[in-house]
Amino acid sequence: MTEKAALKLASAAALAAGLGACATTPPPTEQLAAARAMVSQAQPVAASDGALELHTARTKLARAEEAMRRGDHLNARIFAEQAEVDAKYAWTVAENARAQRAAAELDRGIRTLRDELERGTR
Amino acid sequence: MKPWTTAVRPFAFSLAALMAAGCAMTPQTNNSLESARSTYRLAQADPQVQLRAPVELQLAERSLAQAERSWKDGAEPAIVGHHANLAEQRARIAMKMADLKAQQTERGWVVTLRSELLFDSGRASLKPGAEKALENLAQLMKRQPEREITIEGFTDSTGSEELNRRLSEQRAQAVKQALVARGIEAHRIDARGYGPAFPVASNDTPTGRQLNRRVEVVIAPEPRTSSAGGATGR
Repeated sequence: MTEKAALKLASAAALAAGLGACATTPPPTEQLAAARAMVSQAQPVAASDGALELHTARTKLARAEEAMRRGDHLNARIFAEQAEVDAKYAWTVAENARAQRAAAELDRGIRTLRDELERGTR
Repeated sequence: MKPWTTAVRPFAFSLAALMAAGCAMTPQTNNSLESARSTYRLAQADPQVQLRAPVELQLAERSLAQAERSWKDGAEPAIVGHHANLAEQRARIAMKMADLKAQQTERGWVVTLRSELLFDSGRASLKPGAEKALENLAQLMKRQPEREITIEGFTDSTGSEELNRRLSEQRAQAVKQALVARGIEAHRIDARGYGPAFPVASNDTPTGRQLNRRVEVVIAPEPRTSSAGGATGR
């Protein structure tokens, strides 16, 4: 699902919730904290790889904070939960890319090493 | 498979509240849920994911169970969609995490050095010509500080087995000392000699014997403890 579609869906949830009942939803303090923590964790590694995923997470976190300020707890919760998994996904994408680069560097190093050895014999 | 009940109770309240508020719509199908189901099935069917990302997979399963439940209870499509999205994203995380851990923990390398490049026949002191290669190996190890290496010496089967074993051990030790002298911590390097054991070619021909006289540098996979940072659990 694209970011836009996800946002639209969550907004729809917000509208539906806005019709009543959500006054009873407890403030999603924990979910917001978890989302903030995961976005902070992903931020430094995902700035280049996983940038798009991180952007989605940050957008949703901002919406969660906004909803929280309005006292719209249900929306705050929905956006916070999504922001957290999106940030975590961004983190895993970025870490994967990093690990791949490290492996590629080692591969190159070993190839150089073998070349040197071959040259050494002649 | 009931552990999700406690985790989702707070949300179940809000769902109940929503439904009580009369948001009664009964859609025939839910695309997000369909999509989450198939992504979860993909992750779940992969033994690598089960092995390396069980926590993430379980989180995905919980979210999916919750999506299924709210779907069955006739909750708002958007609410079903929300849980389905969480489930789908978590299943994707599980798959990525499994890839990541496989890369970090499973890849190792073996570099085979022919003994003639490093040593004169019957000797265990390194030739000056080996300099460059050892320097490169040391540099490589400095850039991969998590990895340990094993240096294994082998000989052909000509001559006394015991002498060969000792020679191969001394040669492995000489390589280790050369790396230590270049700043690699001794505890990262294990050196052993196997003599004529584990031949890679026939000892009946000169070429085969030359291939058997070798030093293997085994660059180990990264240790498990360093994998995946702090973002695995929750």
